[in-house]
Amino acid sequence: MKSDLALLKVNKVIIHEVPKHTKYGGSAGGPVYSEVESQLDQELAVYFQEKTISSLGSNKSFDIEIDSSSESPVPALLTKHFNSLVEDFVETSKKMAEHLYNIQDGTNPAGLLAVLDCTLHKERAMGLIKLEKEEGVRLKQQLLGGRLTFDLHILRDLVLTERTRVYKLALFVSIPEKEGDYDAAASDNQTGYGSYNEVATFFLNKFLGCKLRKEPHVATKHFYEAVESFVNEKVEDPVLRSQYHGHVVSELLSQSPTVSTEQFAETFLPVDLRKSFVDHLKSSEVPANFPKNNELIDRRLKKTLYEFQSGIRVIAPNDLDDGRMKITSLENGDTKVEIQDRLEEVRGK
Amino acid sequence: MPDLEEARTRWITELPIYSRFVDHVIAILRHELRDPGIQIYGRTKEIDSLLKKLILKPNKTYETLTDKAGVRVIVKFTEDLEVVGQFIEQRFNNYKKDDKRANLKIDQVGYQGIHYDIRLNDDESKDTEFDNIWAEIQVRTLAQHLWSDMAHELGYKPEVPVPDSMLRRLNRLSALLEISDDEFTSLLNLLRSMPGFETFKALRLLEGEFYKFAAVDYNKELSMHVIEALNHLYGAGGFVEQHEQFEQFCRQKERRLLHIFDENRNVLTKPIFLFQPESLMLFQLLEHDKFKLREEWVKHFPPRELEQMAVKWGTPYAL
Repeated sequence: MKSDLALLKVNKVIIHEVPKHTKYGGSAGGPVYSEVESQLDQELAVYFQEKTISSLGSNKSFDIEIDSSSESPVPALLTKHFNSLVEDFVETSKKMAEHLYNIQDGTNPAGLLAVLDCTLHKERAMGLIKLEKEEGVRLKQQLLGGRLTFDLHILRDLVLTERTRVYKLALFVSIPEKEGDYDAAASDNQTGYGSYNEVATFFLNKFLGCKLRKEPHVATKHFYEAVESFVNEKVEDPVLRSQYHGHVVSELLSQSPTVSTEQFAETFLPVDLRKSFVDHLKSSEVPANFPKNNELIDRRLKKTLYEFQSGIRVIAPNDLDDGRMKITSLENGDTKVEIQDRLEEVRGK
Repeated sequence: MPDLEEARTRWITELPIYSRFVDHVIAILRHELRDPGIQIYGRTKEIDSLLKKLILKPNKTYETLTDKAGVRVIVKFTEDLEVVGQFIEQRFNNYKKDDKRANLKIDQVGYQGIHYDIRLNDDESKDTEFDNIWAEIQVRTLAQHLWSDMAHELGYKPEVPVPDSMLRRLNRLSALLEISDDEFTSLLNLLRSMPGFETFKALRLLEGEFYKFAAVDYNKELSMHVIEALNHLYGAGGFVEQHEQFEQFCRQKERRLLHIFDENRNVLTKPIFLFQPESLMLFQLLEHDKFKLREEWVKHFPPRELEQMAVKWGTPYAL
């Protein structure tokens, strides 16, 4: 996200209970709505602010945008909320909870939807937290000014409790003079391979009506190219250049479904290079986190080209056995490449 | 002899402009001389004082009386006189300097402040109410100020004639305070060579900014520990040498800092480092290079505490 998250202020929170919804109509007869916002003190406001910032700053957060082809009512509800001068926060949030209930099937666990009315300095923002809760745990509502609502401590305790800490979160920050466009991100605190798929399919597409701001195959290509340009522009030592290039290849070919630019920096680069690396990627518009898709760079991940001042070019497969090729820096600034192999053929080019 | 009635009338009319000019000059000085040890204040001349001066100094006219507006800068150590003087001479193109130290012969003691008559630079004052408005800036040490203040009270410009014996006693005090200034400077230099001094000075600088955002008591021992641990991240000269960049950072990020401290002021479960002066140091380092900061931090303190501060700063570590 581009917004200054430190300025996030949570002004109102409302919670609706969204029970499991089977195709036979569910057992609880639809969502249990709050009729009024929950009571929010400074302690809780700061708690939700911190949760939002840390989730969206984590390596499980993705920049998103509205998908105009989506049938979700959430984008229209967001537009209405940000543009409306009339206080309709409760009704908007209820419609979001209703939509969540309607798109759920028997595989989606019961849970809660918390809707946060926020500001970031002068901009308005809305946060949505979808929280899973254990089946059978019944939450009691309380009366506030004669109207039913949930106690926010329930939500806080559920988020904190190890057993029920699975939640998904999205934040939409309005962009002045760009109606319907938001600085937005979504995250899933769940770890593991399923994490991104869950965000992408159900929470992101079906519920929020959004898609990733940058398609995975484009983000992956940009990442690869940005790392290459960083390595060639900022790293002088040829041995290190070769090593870092190897790291990006192995990262993209690894089993991990997503890439975090910060974690890549922390894992593979010395501390002195990390900041400039992350800044370089940011200025190249590479998302901080993205799901991997190598389809545009598949061929480039198979081989590495070494090009020298004199015109010599060496193309080597990336899955070479150890010891076949050795790169060394010489004191005079030259680079020595040693290849130990059997010569197959010599051709003019 | 100047026309006193005309001077009186003009002063009544122009006093508000001079008063605003004093505020303007104070603002310029305060903006640059941010050391909390420096006192800056000002005044416009009382009407009776102005008229008396015109009577007693017949060579002066209303126009040539340059101390109608006066600003005083009081520093703790004699070395700071040079720092302030240099700033004034660079900042104001139009100045006249009167160094009282240079006027004293080797066998004389007395007041040793430096006085400047200044007006704004031409491009600043052109077409404004401050065009050709002068003020006097007096720069002196605390010890010089003490002597000057007391001498004024006891013997200087006396209401009744003062005997020589009393003037001699005043001069003895002046000599003593001159020695005090030298001794204070000498002690300061000794202090500077002692271990921990740089850390303490860094804490003072941090405090100067911190108290703009939070007026709370804090754990000094913890602050010293953090400063010592992170000081080298500011390069060979440490935090103290980079304090101008730090102050600039605080000004640039003022809105964000105000928001963070205001939001968390009454929160019980806040990070333990937030309401400590070194929180500003952490925020600056988070902004500058959060990777280097963490590398150093984890050698001394729990990682979780830094992670919490990073969340407050809006740039969490991607965990």
